[in-house]
Amino acid sequence: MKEIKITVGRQKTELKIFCVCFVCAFILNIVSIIVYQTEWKELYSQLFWVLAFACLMYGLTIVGRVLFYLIKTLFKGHH
Amino acid sequence: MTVKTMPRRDFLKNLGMIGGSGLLMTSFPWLQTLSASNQKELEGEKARIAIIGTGSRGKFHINNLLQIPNADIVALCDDYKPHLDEAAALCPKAKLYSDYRDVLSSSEVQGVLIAVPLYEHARITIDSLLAGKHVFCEKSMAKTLDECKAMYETYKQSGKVLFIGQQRLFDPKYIKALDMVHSGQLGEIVGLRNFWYRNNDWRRPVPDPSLEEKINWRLYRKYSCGLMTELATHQLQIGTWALKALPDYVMGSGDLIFWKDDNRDVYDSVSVIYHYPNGVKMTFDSIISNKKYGMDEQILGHKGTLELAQGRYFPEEPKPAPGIQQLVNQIEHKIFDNVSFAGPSWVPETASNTKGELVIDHVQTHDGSNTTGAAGDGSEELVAAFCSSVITGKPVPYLVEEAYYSSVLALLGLQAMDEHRIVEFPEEYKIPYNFMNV
Repeated sequence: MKEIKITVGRQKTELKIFCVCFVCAFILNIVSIIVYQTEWKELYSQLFWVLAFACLMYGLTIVGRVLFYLIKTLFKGHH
Repeated sequence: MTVKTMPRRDFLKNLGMIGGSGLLMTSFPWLQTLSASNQKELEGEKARIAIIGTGSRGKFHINNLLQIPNADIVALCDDYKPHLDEAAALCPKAKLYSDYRDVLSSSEVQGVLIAVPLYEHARITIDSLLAGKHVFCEKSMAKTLDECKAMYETYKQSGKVLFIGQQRLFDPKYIKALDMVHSGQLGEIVGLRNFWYRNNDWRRPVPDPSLEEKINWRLYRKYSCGLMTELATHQLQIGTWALKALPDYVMGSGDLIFWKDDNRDVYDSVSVIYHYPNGVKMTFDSIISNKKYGMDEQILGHKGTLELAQGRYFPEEPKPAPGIQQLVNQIEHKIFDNVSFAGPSWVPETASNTKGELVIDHVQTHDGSNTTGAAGDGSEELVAAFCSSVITGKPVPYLVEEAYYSSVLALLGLQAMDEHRIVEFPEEYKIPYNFMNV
């Protein structure tokens, strides 16, 4: 079986992508508090939901990148 | 018995926790006996107490008294030797008596705690007060309206301390809940529902058939008024406490429907309605052959509902969900909801299953199935307050009046059921008590 190696560079990139997702989820929480006029303490009390959103977004980026890679590979094969 | 325990805590700390204690002591004046300043006065002092009646409830009180630094159990009295021996094992230094009159003639005894069958409450309490003793008597106050009145009048004339075992008055979750009612948080009070459901025969083991009535006195009308005096009295007090008024009439229905084959003659199924002058109704229902709904007292206001025994508050308009959760719900509805061509013409009004909010941080609850008493139900604080009063000699405001009316309401409910008629509150059984001051 082929051993899969994740380089340090790749790990850093993934971490950066996840951080961007977390910041986006955090901003989404702020927007929700403003739109639904709820309490500001939700900035910390709803961190679990923010984390869940961040994971969801990160998952979507993985799906998007895999699709992009597959399409790219398909086009390369034709040429 | 289901007990959700909370860390053992000092009652005064809990009072501090549930709001401005000074304010609470004005609203609930009987709590003054447990105030920090009063407790300081009592340091090193002991109330010399005799226990008259050492059955299960008597022993429950003994165990509480043994935890109270200001209590000294100096005498035990019971005419049933096995109970007396069990109690003596808990208090080896106490003198033993089989006749309560001998206890009353002892100068060593300052106060008596009476935990005997209901039919003996009035006689022993009155004799004790007349003998110059301070008295704690278990609820219900007495078996008849006249006995209740006689106890109250003797208490007023004697100048001695009288406590009746209405422990909810010292239960932190009830105090906080009633404070919420009086501060208007529930809005206008529109109804009160009390219920107590069990599924057992309410019978204790009898070592010899000749002792049946002595041990299972609760099951016989000669000695007890059954569910009304043993259970309802605790809950009916909530009506006067919350509404600060007396009902103008009572109606009800009681029957023996399930436990019919063991010679008992008290009802095992009762439903009573207390009607207040403003039209609000308080109900009491009890069945002892089904335990699904357990025990609770519910105060219904137009802004919210309190479940007192659970220590929970349910606002009519629940607090909205956090913003991010509302966002998720909205997205979910947009994706998955069907597009309806017409709205539903009827929505089933089943009860909301929201969990509500706890009225205090640490609520200790029990399901009401224990026939002796439960930890954290205010009983320990109540006997501690009694010991304080025995030492100071000062009666506690409103305690007797609250207990008097809860006993009278229970007996009026029984009268309504027995006579199959609407019973108006009799003027002759009203006592001087201004509810609005409480």
